[in-house]
Amino acid sequence: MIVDKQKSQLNFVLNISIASFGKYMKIYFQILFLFFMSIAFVNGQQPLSNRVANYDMEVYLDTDKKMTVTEMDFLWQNPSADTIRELQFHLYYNAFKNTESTFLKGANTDFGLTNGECNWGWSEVTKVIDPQGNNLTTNLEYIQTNDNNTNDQTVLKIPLAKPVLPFESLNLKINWKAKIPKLSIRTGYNREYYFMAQWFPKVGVYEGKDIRCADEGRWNCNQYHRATEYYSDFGVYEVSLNVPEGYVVGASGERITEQKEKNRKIYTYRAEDVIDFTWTAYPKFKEAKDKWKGVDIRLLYHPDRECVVERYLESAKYCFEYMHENVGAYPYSTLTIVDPPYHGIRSSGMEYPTLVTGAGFYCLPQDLRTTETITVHEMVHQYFMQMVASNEQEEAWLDEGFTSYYEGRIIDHYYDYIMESDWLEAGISNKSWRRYRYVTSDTKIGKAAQPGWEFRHGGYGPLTYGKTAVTLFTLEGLVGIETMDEIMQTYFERWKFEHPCGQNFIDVVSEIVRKNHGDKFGESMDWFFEETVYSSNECDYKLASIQNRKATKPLGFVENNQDCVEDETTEEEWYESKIIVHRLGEIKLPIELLVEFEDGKTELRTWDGKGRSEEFTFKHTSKVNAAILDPEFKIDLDINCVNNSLVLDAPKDGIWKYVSAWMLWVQNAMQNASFII
Amino acid sequence: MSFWKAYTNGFGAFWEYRKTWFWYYIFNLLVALLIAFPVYQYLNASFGQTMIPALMLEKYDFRIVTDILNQYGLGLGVLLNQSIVLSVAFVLISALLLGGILHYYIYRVDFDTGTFWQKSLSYFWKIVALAMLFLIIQLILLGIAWSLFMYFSHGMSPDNLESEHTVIRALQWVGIPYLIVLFLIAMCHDYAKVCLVSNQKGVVNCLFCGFRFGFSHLRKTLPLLILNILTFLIVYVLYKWIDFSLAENSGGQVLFFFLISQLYILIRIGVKLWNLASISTLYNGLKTERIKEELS
Repeated sequence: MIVDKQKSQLNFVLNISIASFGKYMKIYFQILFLFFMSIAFVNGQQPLSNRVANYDMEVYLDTDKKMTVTEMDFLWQNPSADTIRELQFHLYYNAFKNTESTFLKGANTDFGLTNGECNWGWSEVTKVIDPQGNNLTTNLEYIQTNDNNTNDQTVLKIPLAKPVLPFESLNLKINWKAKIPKLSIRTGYNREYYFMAQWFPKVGVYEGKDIRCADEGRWNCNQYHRATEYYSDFGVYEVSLNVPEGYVVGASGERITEQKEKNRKIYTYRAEDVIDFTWTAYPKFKEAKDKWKGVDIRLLYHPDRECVVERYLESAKYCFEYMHENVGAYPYSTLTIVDPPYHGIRSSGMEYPTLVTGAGFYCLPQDLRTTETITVHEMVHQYFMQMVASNEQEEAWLDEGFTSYYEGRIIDHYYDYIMESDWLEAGISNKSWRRYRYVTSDTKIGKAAQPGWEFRHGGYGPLTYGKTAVTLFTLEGLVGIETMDEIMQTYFERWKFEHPCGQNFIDVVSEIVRKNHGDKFGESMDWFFEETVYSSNECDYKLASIQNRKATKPLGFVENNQDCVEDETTEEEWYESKIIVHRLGEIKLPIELLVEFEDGKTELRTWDGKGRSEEFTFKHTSKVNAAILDPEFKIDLDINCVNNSLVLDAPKDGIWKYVSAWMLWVQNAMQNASFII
Repeated sequence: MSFWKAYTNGFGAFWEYRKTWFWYYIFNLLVALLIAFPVYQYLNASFGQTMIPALMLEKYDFRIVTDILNQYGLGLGVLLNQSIVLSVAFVLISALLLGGILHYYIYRVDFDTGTFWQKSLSYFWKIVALAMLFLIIQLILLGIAWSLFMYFSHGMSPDNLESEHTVIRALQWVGIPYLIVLFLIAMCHDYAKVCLVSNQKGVVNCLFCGFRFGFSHLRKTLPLLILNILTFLIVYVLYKWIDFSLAENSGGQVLFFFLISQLYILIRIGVKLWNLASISTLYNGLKTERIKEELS
């Protein structure tokens, strides 16, 4: 796969060279392209990605009008063998333009945007000039790629005067301005705080044949929907941010220059091989710095949040360490963590290339690991969706689910619990919290693997985050942690800086499982994902009954030639025990059955879990006293572990423990209530 | 009479009428058993024959708790509602018992079970009515405190606040004075109950009597209040210390912990009654001193 990638890059460059003989302008853009491509070589590195979408922007932030005015030099490489006659851009800020946008209609709330005129946001492309000097501005058209909502203007089509030939490049000069919305969800301003995400015209992804499992070339530029937002091509961003002096700025990538201009400052950032660019500006930010293996970690936080600084930095380093050891290397030189101030809380818990937002609160108890959990979650997104750039809009399970899975592993590895209480003598692990979110939801409302906007009436969170994470934990339980790690490492190495689809991941799973376990799980693992993320099925196994009976020799005239003689031989007592198990759910998974005999001996058997009901017979010198399905809790997907076991002589001490605790609680509550008398 | 003397003499009165303590505890225990027994039955019928009880005994497992609540939450919800109803019933029982208990703390006559119940019944409605009046006062106070908190914290809205520090400060500024006033009113409520049993006047009169007495002798009532609160805190901290030191991983340990927890409830009720006895003693003492002064 990697060899193919290099070949296509070579063709790409050759095609450009051949096509460039002829016209002067073309040479100019070839040079520009080579300039972009060569920067990495000058730095002594090969580009990490194919750098399809490259942006050079000069941004002016007007804090009085809450606007940005930008001049953009945009360079796009046709990554396919197709001739491209139009470009499609996301204009996400237009989601906040009116109440009829697909985003706001899907959200069933106006997010407070209707509270004031200044709350609305929009983007307007004011000028588009192609290399031939054609003004394309007059042909701009808003299109709706997912629905027929003509009030939605979040996708802009730019018909080209001259098509882009296969593997050729196109440079456009694009001027645009944007009214920044009041921070209602993810992006915008509140007071002096600016969080600028999904803020610029961002080109969609042209999926040539076989890119992300495409049968034929197609544009993938979805409208902005409430739940989803990420899918774009890799590229280089060089962005100059012109902001009032005194503002502290954080952004994706590295800061390369900083200059003063009257009462303003211009910060230039450069981010290479990333799929997006996000920035923030706020005069009150304090800054904390740390380092992990050459990566500069920069934390921006409100001065009142001094108490959470160490928690952020520690969890960030833990996350780097774990992902580095278990998945792959983090190739960037920076990571900026933004702790939004209280009035910026609506931008909390988001992930962008080399920049994430957390959620820290003043006086947040140490035992409540919200800050650590969110930091780890957003940082894992650097791997799944930022580097392994799957389509979050259409297959969110490939990033939110994967991220939730690693969030569970990392938090439980370093902290044991996401919340714990000495007072209650209880702790909740991240893994069990994820499972809780899944099993207590309407688990059958839909599939985990479906476009974000098709989760019409709930289910997005519990299924994409919860069910997928629980599914991956189940896969880990079935194939073992070593195989699971090998799967994820292979997937990451093979698909980083590419656009995989779900089947690409499943193919990796099949390959590694077959390599390590042979035919134990079948030819491929397609069945596992068909049963789980590609269906709305549930998993529930039940231990239905235990039956013991004394085994006897056959009696009567079993054979006609027997003599009628009393059998005086004495034999050891034997018992024949039957264990009956049921499959109540639709999901079929191999499951273990552990049986415990009265003499203390145990026996483990495996059931393929396919039948609706199964009977297991045991012959032993003592009765079966207890039996449990999935004794090691490998199948996290089983929605009810309470019915997984039966014990004939069950002690009730555990029930007494909780009932007496409940009784004590009630007695205290009654005493407290009698305070009013 | 000093607050210290009231506190120590109060203990004497409390101990003298320890039968009332016993009655109070028995009712608390009976109601709690009425609540707990169906819960035990339900859990036992639901998963008593599985390995879940053994796993629950071993350690807290959120996965098991999740599945129990998910599968049997509906039934447990019904039992919880029943618990609330029974708890309210206990509050009324408490009101019933208090009349009889206060009668003995104030009049210091020989204990007689028949008289105890007769006095309990005779003061019941007045004590309930008085409680309703104080409940209204407490609710008004809560409303004022909440309004002040929302005012100072600007409604906690991210749009109106620079930092959540403002919310914490508002909580400190409003919460601490609120708690002080709440306890002062509760103290006056206790004195109003003493007035009710002692003077046998109307409920509203007793309400004013309670406030008048509580605030006019604040130099004595306040230290006594603090002393009573401290007594409770000491008992509570001791109990929690024992609680943290004990493991509950076997049937024997569960039983031992159950006995310890019942001892704690018994002492907690004792502290409550000691508080009533001490304020009754202070009330009587100061009243006697005033009569003596008037006579002299």
